[in-house]
Amino acid sequence: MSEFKNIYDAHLALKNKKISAKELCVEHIKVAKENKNNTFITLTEDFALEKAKKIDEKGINNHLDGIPFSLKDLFITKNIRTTAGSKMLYNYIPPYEGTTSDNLQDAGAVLIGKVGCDEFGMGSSNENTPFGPVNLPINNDYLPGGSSGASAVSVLEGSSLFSMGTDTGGSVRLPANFCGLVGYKPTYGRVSRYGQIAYASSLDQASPFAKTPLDIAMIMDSITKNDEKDSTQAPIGAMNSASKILNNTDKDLKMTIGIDRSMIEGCREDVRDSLNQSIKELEKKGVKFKDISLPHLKYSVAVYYVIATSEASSNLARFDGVHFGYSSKNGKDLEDSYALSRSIGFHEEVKRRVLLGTFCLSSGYSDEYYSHACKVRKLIYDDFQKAFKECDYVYSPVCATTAFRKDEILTPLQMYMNDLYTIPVNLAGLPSMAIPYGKSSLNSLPTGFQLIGNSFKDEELILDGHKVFEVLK
Amino acid sequence: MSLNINKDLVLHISKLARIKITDDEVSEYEKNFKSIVEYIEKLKEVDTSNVEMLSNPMTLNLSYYEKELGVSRKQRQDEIRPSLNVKEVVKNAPDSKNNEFRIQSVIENS
Repeated sequence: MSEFKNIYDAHLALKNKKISAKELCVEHIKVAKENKNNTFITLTEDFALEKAKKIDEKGINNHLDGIPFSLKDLFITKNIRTTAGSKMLYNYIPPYEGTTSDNLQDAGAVLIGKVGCDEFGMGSSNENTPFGPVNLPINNDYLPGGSSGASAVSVLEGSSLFSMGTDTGGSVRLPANFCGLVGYKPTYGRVSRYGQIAYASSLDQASPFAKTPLDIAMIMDSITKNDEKDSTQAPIGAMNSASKILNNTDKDLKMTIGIDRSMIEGCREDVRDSLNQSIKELEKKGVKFKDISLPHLKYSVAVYYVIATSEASSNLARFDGVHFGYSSKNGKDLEDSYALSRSIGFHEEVKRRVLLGTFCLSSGYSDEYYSHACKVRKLIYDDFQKAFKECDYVYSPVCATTAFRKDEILTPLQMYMNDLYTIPVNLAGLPSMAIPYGKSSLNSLPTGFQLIGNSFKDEELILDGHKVFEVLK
Repeated sequence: MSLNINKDLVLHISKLARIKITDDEVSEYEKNFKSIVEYIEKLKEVDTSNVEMLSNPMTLNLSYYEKELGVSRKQRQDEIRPSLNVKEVVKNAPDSKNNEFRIQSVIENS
């Protein structure tokens, strides 16, 4: 494992020539190659070494210069296999570069490889993939959570200093929480989605994993440039949060955090204890907590499984076995071959969601299900807006439990319920930071909470998230 | 009142979704859908009269950055730009000929 705990440490060492970008890269590739946790789908060793060499020649300027990272295999990378964790795209080599990958490499970061995920980002355990489940490095009887589980594991096992995942209903915050990392889901529209394989377009957002909020700031500063290739991105320019954290001397926690205590009551006892402890400590440090009510959040999972599956059924229609991806020509005609290609190329959970979404949008049901869900979605958004009139942030659990055991067998609906606390943020398009805090008294696994901000308060949330993280350390 | 999910409905949906499912899968999906749709049905208890649909947060974001930040979304000039190289794109096709996608015949022989 690398001696550097985070991006900033490694950046200082690179800058002071204590280590070269190539040495740092080799160290991380070595861990990736040991393959203890089934993290990587594709390693990009030669590509990474060449990039590191270029950085050494050029010198260290940016925070991300020479920093090894991994990408969830849902991010398009030109000429590098991109599978979406699916048999459907097993051999897909993209002819173009996605914006997130482009921005990070432009900022000097070194791509070590593409890591696994639940197929097309659909799942909460990183098990729904033909590439096999990924281990939680701290205890191999457990799973890292999903869908971006392998991204979290690559940071935890030390094969990357940061990783990019995607968060549609909690797919970054949940694994961050299970792995004791910081996960950050930006405001919807803060980061371009160009070149991010779509699951549910009105919810998907590229989201980083790192060890600290300062590292998150360095990543966010690099991926928030305006991109005319995504018209849903807000053209408000790149963030500049890392230097603000580094230059800030004011350590006061002058903030009001809203809390709906019924959410904490819904958690398992060990998680509840840990959350209550974090609140007590923050209060001691001067944070003001205010009781708020978010009455429509209890409908979030139901709303999500109508909207996300509807969007998925439409987005995944492109996989027809003709243009790219898995193809079967054994059908009796073209129509039959479409259906055959899709039924073999997609795994069970993807099929379930595409079918469910097709139902929700089908003639006779779309008003009853899809349109109605979009209205309840607005009420969830309104709940948050009402709360933000009284507080700066909303405190919430990330998950009612710690990481799942490998031998736990849940029904699809039970699995969906694990996202109860993360989904509302995506539905309302808000930014949220999952912050690790403490350990479970039951199994010693990491616990934590999330701080939710209002739309486009990303910079404020990262700055305050940094302060909160530091006082709780 | 709960919707009657049965085998016929599951088969109808699988046809619409262009996903072939086996007889065993039909019963499995029928079971899954029953519990999921029953759960989704609880949305019906929410009164949404006079509530507008929120289908994408972008619509609300727009008013934020246009009003608060004074940044407007500009449409780009309608100019021709190079698209992806056809040869490169077709490389990923399961079957192609002369840089075109090849499919099964759709016109019946007379």
